[in-house]
Amino acid sequence: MNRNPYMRLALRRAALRTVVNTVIVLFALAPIAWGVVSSLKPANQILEVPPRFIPQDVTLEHYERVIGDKGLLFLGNSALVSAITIVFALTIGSIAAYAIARYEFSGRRILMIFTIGVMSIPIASLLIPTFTLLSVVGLINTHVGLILLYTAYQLPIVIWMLYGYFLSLPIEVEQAARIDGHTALGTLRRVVLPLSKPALVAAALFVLVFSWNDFVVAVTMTSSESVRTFPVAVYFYLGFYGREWGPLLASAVISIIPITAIFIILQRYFISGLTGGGVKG
Amino acid sequence: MKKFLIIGGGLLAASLMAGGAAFAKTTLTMWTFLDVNAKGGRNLALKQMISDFETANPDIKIKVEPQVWSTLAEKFVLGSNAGNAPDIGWVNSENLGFIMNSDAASNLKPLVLDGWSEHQKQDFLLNSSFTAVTDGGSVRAVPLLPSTWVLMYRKDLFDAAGLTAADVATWGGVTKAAKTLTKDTNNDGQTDVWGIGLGLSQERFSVTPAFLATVDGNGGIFDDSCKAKFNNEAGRSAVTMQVDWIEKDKVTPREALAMSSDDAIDQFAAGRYAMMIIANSRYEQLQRTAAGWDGAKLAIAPVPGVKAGKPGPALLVGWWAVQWSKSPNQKAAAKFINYMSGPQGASLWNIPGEQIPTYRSVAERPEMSDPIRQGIRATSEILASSGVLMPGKCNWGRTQADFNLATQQVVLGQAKIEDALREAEQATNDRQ
Amino acid sequence: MFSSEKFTPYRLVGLAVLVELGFVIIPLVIGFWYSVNRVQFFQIRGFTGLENYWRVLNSPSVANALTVTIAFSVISLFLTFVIGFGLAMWLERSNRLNGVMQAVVLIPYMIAMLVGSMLLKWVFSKESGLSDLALAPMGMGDVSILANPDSAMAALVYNAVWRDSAFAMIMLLAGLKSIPAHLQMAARVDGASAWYRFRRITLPLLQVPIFITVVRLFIHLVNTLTYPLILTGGGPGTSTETVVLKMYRLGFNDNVLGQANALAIMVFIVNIALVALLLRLFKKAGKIQ
Repeated sequence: MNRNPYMRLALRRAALRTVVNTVIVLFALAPIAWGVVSSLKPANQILEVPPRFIPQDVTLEHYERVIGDKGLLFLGNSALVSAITIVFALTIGSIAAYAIARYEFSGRRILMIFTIGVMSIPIASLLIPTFTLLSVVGLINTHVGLILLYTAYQLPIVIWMLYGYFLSLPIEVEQAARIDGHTALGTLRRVVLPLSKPALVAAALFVLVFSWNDFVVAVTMTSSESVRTFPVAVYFYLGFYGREWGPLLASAVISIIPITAIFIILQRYFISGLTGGGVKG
Repeated sequence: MKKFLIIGGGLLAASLMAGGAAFAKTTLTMWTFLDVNAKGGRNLALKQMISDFETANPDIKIKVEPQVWSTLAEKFVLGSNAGNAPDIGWVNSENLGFIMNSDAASNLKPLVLDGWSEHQKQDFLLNSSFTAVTDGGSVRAVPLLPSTWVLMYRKDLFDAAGLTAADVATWGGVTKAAKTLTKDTNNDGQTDVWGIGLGLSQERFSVTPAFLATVDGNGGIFDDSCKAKFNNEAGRSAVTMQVDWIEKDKVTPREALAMSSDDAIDQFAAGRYAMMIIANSRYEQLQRTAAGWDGAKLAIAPVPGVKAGKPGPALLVGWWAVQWSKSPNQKAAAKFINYMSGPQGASLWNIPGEQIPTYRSVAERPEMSDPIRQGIRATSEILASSGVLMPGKCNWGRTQADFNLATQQVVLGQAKIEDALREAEQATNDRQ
Repeated sequence: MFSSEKFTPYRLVGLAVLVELGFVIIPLVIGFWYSVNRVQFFQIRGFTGLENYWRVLNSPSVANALTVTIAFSVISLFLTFVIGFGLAMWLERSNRLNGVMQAVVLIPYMIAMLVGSMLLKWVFSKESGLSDLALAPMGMGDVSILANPDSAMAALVYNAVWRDSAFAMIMLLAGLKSIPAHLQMAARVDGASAWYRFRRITLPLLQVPIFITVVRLFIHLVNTLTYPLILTGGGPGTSTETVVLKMYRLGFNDNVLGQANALAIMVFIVNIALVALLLRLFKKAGKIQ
C-alpha cells in the first residue's frame, strides 16, 4: 500500500521516458531511415506514389553501382585527406594552444581575437580567391592543397578547444618537467598531451566531421578523379541528364557509415574531452 | 659498301625517329561532363572515339577528367587565368559568354575549320552556329552535341482527350489543352494529372516556357550590344501565361515554385503531367523511367508559337568543344577536337550516343529510320525548320532563372509583373 | 605562466599563424581587392573604389536577404539552443540508454550537411509522397511545404534544428558535467526545488559554455550555405535567400565577383561586430573575463 504510489510514479516516469526518447529517435533518424529504405529499392520503385515504407523488392544494385563507379577510390581519398588533416590540425593547433595557455606575451590577446575572427569568415566567400591562390602555388587539384585548406579552416576551433583544456590542467607538473630540463615542446609532448587525450579526441572528431563531409571546398578545388573526395562523388549523382536517386541515396548512406562508426567508438571520450576545456573560456 | 652504309644509316635514322616519336607521347587532358567509365550511350560513344583516335594516333593519349557540368565553364576560365586549364574543355551554350569574353580559348578556325574539305563543310548541318562563337574572325568553339528544347507530351492522354499535336501549336492551344488534361483520376478531390509541368526553382533550373515565348514574341531578348530588353508586352504576356497556369487555370501545381527542372522531370516520368517543355536529350531517360504509363507513348512536338502558323523558336543549345589558348599541345588538341566534331565522331555521337546528327550523311543513314530513333528524327526536323541561335557573346546563362524568379514573385504577390520583369531584365543586364 | 623565455611563444604559434595567413588571410585580401574592382568573367577590369559596396547596399535583393538571414538565424538559434539544452538536461545522467540516445541525436550532426539537406528536401517535397501522406489526414493534401514562403522558411529552420541541436547538446552536456556534483546534492538536501536549482546553480555555472555555444551556433547559422542552397534553393521567390546564398549567387552565377566580395567583407565585419556585442552582453550579465 505504501509502495504503490511510488510504483505508479516510477511507471509513469518510465512511460514518459519511453515516449520522449521515441520522439527524439524519430526526429533524429526518420529522414535517414527513409533514405536507407529508399536506397534499397529498385530504381522504378523509388518514386512510387504513395510511398512504401517496406520495399516491395530489395536490391543492392545502387550500392554495387556506387562501388563500381570508383567509390572505393573516393572513399580512400576522403579517408586520406581527413586523417592527415586531423594530424596537421592537432599538431599545429596543440602547439599554438599551449603557447597561448602557458605564456604571457604581447600579441597574445590579438591572437585570440584573430582566432575568433578567422572563424567568422564565411568560407563560401573565400572560394574563388583561394582557387586563384592554389593555382598559382601549384596546389590546385592536389590532396595537399585540400589538406592545407581544411587545416587552416579547422585550426581556430582546435586551438580554442585545446587552449581551454590546457588551462584546466594543473601547471605544477609542467613546472616540474621544465625544471628537469625539458623544453617547451618536450613538456607539451611528454606531460601535457598525455593528460589531454579526451580533448584531443574531441577536437579530432570536430575536424573529422568537417573534412569528411566538406563538399563546397572540394568541388571547387579539385578536378580529377584521382583526388576526388566522396561527397563530391555524391554530388555527381545529382547528374546532368537526370538525377539518379538510387545511387545518390546509396552513396549518401555509404558516406554516413564510417563516420557514425568512428563516433560511436570514440563517444565516451567526446564529452569528457569537451568537459575539460572545450566549453571553458 | 658506301651505298650500303648510307642506306643503313638512313634506316637507322628513320627507326630512331620513329622510335623517338613513339616515345614522345603527348597526353591531352580533357574536361567534360561525360564519364568514359560510366554507362550510357554518350559515355560509350566518347570511349569508343578515344580508343579509335588513339589507335590512329599512337603518339597522342587522351585523359578524360569528368567535371560537375554546372561549373565547367567557370573552372575552365579560372584555370586558364591561373595557368592550368586542361588542353580541351567542354562548354554548354548558356556559358559560352565565359569563353567569348576571356582569352581562354584558341582560335579554332586555322586549327580545325580551315582543314575541313569543301565536301565536309557542305555536309555539316550546323554551319550557321559558328556565328554565335565568332569574334573578329576568330572561332572560339566547335559544336559537338547539339540539343534543343521541345514540347514533350503523353500521346496516351492526348488520344484519350481527342487532342493532337496540332492543338498545341500555340501557347493559347497549350493552355486550352492543359485544362482538358488536368484531371482528378481517382476522385479524391485532388488533381493527380496536371496539364503542364514547370520547374521554377532558381537552383538547377533549365528551360522555362515564358522565356521561349518571349524570345518568340519579342524577336530575341538582346539588342546588338547585348542589352536585354524584355520588360514589354511580349515579356509580360509570356510571364502572365505561366502565372495563370498556376493561379487561374490551375493546370500546373503550385509546387512548381519549389521544383528544379530535375524535380519536374521526375514528376513527368512518374506520370503526373501531360505536357512539359524539356531538352530533347532527356527523351531516352524519360522513356526509360516512365512509371505508371507506357514510355513508348512519349511524343515530341515543336515549341508552341505565340501566333498561329509559326512554331516557336527551337533554340540551338548543347555542348561545344574549346581548346585552351595556352595549351602546349595546340596541334594535338586541335586534332582531337577535329576528330570529335568530324564525320567519324558525329556518327559515334549519333549511335551509340543517340544524339542529334550533325552531318547530313549521318542523318541520312539507314539506322536513323529505326523506330527507336523517332525522337532524334523529330528533333532534327524541328531544328532544321525553326532552329534559332542565341548570340554567344551575350550572357544568358541565368536569364531563364530570372524569368522563373519573376514568375514566382508574381504568383506569391511579392511584386507586380512590371516590377518583377524590370528586375529580371536588370539582373540579366548586370551579368553582361 | 612561463614568461621568462622571450621568443618561445612566438616560435610556438608561428606555424599556426603562417597557415592562417597563407590560406585564409591572403584569400581574404585577394577578395578585398576584388571588392574594390570591377571583375567580369573572373578578370579584373578596373578599379572602382567603393562602388561595389554602394551597389550592394542599395540592392533590394540584398536587403531582402538580410531580413531572411536575421529571421532564419534568430529563430533557428533560439530553437536549436532550447532544444539542445533540453536534450542535454534530459540525457545528462550517465547510463547506457542515455549513451545510445546521445549517439542517436549526434547522427544528423556528423553526416554531411549536403546529404542531410538532400534527405530532408526529399522528405518535404511532394515527390517522395511523404508530406502528402502526413498532411492529407489534416485536410492539407494540396499544401506544398517548399512552395509557400512561410512553410519553406519553417523547413529551413527545421533543417538547422535537426542537425545543430546535437551540437548545442554536446557543448551544454559537457558544461553540465563539469558542474561539481556536490553543489546540486547540497541544494537537494536543503530541499531546493528543481527550478530553483536550475536557476541558481545550473544556469550561473553554465554561463561560459552557454556563451561559447551561442557564439559558435550563431556564426555557423549566419554563414551556412548548404541549407538554403540544397533544401530550398532560396525559394519560393526569394523568401529563403540568405545573405550567404546571395553572395554565392553573385559570385558563381552572376559572375559579379566584385559585388560578391563586397558583400562577403560586409558579412565578415557584421559577424565580428555581433560576436563582440555578444561578448559584451555576457560580460555585463556575468563573470566572463
